[in-house]
Amino acid sequence: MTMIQKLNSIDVRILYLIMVVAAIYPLLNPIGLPLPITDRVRDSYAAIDALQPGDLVFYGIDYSPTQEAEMWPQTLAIGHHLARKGVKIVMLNMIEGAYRYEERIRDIILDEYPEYQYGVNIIALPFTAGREAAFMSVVQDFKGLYTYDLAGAPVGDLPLWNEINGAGDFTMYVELADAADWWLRPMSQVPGLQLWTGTVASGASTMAPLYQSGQMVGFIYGMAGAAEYEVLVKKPGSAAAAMDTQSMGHALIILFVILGNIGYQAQKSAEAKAKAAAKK
Amino acid sequence: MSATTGTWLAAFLTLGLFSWMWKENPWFRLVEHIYVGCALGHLAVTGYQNVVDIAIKPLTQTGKYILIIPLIMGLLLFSRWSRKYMWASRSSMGFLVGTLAAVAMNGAIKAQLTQQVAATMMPLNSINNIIFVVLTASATLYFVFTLQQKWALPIIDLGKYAMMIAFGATFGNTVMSRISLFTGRLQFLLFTWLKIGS
Amino acid sequence: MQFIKSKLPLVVTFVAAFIIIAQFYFDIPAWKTLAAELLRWNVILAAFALTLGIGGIVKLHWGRIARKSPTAIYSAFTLGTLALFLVIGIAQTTRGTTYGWLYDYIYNPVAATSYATTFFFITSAAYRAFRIKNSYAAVLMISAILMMLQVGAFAAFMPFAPKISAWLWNIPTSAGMRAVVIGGALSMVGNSFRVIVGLERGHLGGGE
Repeated sequence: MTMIQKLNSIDVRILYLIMVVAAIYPLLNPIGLPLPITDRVRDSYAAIDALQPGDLVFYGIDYSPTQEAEMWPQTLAIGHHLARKGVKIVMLNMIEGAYRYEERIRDIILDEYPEYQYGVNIIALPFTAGREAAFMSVVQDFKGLYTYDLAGAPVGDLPLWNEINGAGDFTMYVELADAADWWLRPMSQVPGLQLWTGTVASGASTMAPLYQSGQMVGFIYGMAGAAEYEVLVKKPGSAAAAMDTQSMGHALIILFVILGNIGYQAQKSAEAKAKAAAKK
Repeated sequence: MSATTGTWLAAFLTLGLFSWMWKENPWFRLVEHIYVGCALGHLAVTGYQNVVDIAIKPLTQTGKYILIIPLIMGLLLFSRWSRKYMWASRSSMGFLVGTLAAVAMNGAIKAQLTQQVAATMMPLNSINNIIFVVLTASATLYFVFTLQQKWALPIIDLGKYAMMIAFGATFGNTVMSRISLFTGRLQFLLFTWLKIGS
Repeated sequence: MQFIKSKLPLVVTFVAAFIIIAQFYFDIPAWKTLAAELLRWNVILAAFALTLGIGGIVKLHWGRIARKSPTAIYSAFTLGTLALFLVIGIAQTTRGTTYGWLYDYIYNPVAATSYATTFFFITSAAYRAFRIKNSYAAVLMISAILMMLQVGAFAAFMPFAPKISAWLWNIPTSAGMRAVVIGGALSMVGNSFRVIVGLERGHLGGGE
């Protein structure tokens, strides 16, 4: 077997092993590679930083455990930022798998920020089916949609609930979701509501034009976006710790693409030569 | 049940799914079947809870009797399980899809069509703006399948290259996403389960 | 009877959609209240729809167990896990501690890991499948590599890399995806219209 044929027929499990070792090593022995902050994340941070104490903010937790690794660090970093700004937080959830993340971030804010009292300046609302229709219901008749909160208590007993008239009272909607269309279409119809999103890296490019057009004031994505945001809020966590692994993984994927194509082109040219020789 | 038992169970399930990468095996198949069961179970429980919170409790506790109509329509959806009586679910399904289509159509026109077109109408006073407008227009022209004009082909080609750049960016970000997801599971296995490193 | 089976669903689709859309054109408070009520009904029906998947899965796996097929043991685990989640979930709701334990230590790890396995598919695809066969593929791959270089560490060795990635993101990627978003929006409007006027009936299902 020639070198090219060996290159092209390598067992993929060897590649898997290389990737796994490359992923594990930096987690156990952090290299400490730099983490520069991109302008987009900085501007997104500034948008939340501009909120005033007492502003009403929707905080949508709309991702399932399949996206936890990218989205939970974002949830944590943004939750800390919102809490430090002293805004009034109303948490929403339109994805079935997200309720535990909503419970966790609610409990973290209540534990670490003594000025936050449940029902006074933070409410967590339960999962609501229907996705886009549920969001439209929030836009048109927010108070009519919910009777109970995430813990099962009547919302009518909560002081913050009685201060709110409707979606129009809110300053910003911070949404953590895997796609934009099903929440952005309805929520963009609330006059004056600023839209801010954190999403997974794989779905980010479909949101790029929505951010570029100014329909969203903030936009971060992926574990890299979470890591940069953790640095900005000065709470480095699992995302920042994983950046070395991210860099190693990227470097190896780029190497595999290049090697794979070198092998492919070499094989093509060898086959062409063999064909030409056979014709003679 | 303790968190330690839970952590060991979670590690067993995680490694079971990863074991497929070596080769197909009974451990992987077992965990795969458990996944199907628990995913559907969780969906059903959240659906049931939603019906209770939004329909049954307001109906029984605050006397909102009009909610009997969506409750009956919802129950009729289960007739889809029977080939003979599936017709009974059609009106409910029609209502569900009709309202969703109306909401989506309205939102698409406002948020995705008009605002996106308006945002493309930017002043051509910088090289970036010129490139942006030209690329957007040429990529949009690609989607006009009804009129094929020879003069438009080089412009459509430019649009295709713009979309290739966009899809390349999507691929690059997808690689980032997949590595992140794997790293998340590694962090669980190393830091939470085996307690190696931090 | 024929009306209820075939015509009524189309009438219901049209009337419900018309009420939702027309509220944006007529400033009548009663109409808006009716539309808001219909959206609430949609939420309730969507919640019912979440439970529909159980029927097919139970039928499939129960059939395997009844036929004593070689994979019957796995089907038993599927149905057993489903029953466990249903019983605990209905008894305690998702707010209960036992259900929370099941979610945290069974559902969460399998769901997270199922997507994490795509890491391996990307690896083998990068080596085996991504072939640069023409200029479009070359542009796609160069763009992908430049986007991958935006991750922080590369900036230490290639300071120009994040700047190029940022420009690629802000200009050509946003421009190309804008066309996709506009095309997608037009297609959504067209398909929604077809559903509303009854030209599209696939969602209604088969049967008699």
